[in-house]
Amino acid sequence: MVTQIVKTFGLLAFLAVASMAASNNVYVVYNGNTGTNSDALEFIQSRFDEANTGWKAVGVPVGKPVDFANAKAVVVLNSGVPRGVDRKLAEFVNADPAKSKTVMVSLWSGNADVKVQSVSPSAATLGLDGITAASVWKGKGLGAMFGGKVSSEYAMHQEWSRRLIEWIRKAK
Amino acid sequence: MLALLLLYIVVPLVQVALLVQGRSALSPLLVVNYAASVLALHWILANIFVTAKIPWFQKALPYDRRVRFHAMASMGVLLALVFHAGFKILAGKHIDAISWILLAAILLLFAGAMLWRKKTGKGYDRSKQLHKALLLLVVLLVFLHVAQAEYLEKIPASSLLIFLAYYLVALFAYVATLFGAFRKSAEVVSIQVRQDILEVELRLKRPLRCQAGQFVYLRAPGVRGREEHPFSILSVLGDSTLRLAIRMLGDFTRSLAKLPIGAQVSVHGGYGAFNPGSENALCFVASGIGMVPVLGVLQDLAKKADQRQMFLFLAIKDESEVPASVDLAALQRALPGLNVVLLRKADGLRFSAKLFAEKMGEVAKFRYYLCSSPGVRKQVLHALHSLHVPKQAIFYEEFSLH
Repeated sequence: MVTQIVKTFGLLAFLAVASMAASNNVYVVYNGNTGTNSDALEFIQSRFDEANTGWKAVGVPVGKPVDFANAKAVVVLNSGVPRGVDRKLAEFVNADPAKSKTVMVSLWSGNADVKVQSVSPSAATLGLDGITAASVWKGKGLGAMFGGKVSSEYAMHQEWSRRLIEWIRKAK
Repeated sequence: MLALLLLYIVVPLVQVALLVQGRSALSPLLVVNYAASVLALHWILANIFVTAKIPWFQKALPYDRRVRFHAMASMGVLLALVFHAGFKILAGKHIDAISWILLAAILLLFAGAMLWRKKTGKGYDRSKQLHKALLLLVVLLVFLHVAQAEYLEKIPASSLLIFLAYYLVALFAYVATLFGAFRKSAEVVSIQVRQDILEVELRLKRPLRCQAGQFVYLRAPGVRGREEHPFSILSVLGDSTLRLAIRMLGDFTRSLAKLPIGAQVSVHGGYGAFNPGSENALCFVASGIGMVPVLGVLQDLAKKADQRQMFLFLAIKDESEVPASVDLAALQRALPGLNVVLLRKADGLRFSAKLFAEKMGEVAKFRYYLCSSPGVRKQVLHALHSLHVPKQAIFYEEFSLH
């Protein structure tokens, strides 16, 4: 009897810890091992760390399974296209069973426009909330190293990632 | 060798691993690009440290090997940088101004070094100064470039410490040698000129760790500005007196002959590993001014009353080429096992397998120490190889990259 109780409590405790740990995973689904995807993933994690979220950005190549049940959120990293949605990512989204916790971040290629936009669910975003920006990367800039402002491109990346963090915080 | 392996291979590869660990979406080309950039970065810094004239490391890393290694490692840097820059440019990445300036500075550094090899005299010295100045610019730009690329923010703390260690050690080596941290002051005690050989005796204000067979860098204020040149040590008397023998070939060396007694100069060293160990039998082969380290070593062995069988093959114009303070006959008396074979120009004798075999008999039992021009060395090596003398039995220091 005592052994049974101990085992049950142990299992419950394990499940509680496991679910807490798992729910800090933010799965970032991407298509292709590209510099943009690699840098974006790293940037997302660094922004999570700066904001003390405790979240872990887990990169998932499209086609690999995503643990929706244990995900804090799922980010579809739409890169390598000047507009629209990457075909393979579109297939993933259309099969996505957990749209409520999925957001699309589009980093348009070949685009120097540093405007960040938050987009409501629509056909263009395949029914997901979206955040759009450009993929151009110029680093913080020399001035920022000496206390000056960061480059407008870097500020753009800071802004879209800020909006992403805000969205994840609100996601259920 | 272990030190070079660590500095150039093991630690930089660990740095690459620390940079890419935990990263997703990495293609093989991306990984190679990261590796190229990290390797180039660490090799540039290691190169500065390895080629700095720091006498402390002479035993672990003999200077001549360091210089030649530096040339090879620099080619590695160039290849890595060409890949890294090419990858970024072809991928359409934005290249900021600092990166362009750094690339230009490094290419200038290489171009200068390639031209430097062919120069002599004043052109050689100016090229050397330009190389040092460009190097300082490169070191500063490298730091700005990696900071801008947020490399320092992307790597774990351990990796950051390693990078900073490389950077600070390179900077220390550069600054220390620039400001003469290892130079020792000395006073000219005597000057002797015979034919075109100048013998200078220096009294050091503080002891210099060196021995005959090695060389030191000498700078004389008032003689061609801040230039310094390497000269072989003929003898070391106690802790504080050094005798150099110099062939007067150019402005610098001819100006040295005009130094007054009591003139203040500075030296640093000793560099070089031209010194026999406990081999059973020794054979010294020298020509021209290359005889200086050889005669220095023999004088040292004479002081220790060495009894081993030795040969000295000396190619000279005539006996007047031998430094005035060296008495070959006295050397032979002090070293009973020493046989001296003079190859005077007038005799028409040349280094050959026949000469060595005739004079020495059992050539295989000797350890050979060569000090000569590259051309003569080539002749001697050819002769020894044809007598099946193994490469490990032949020692020489090679400073030329030709």
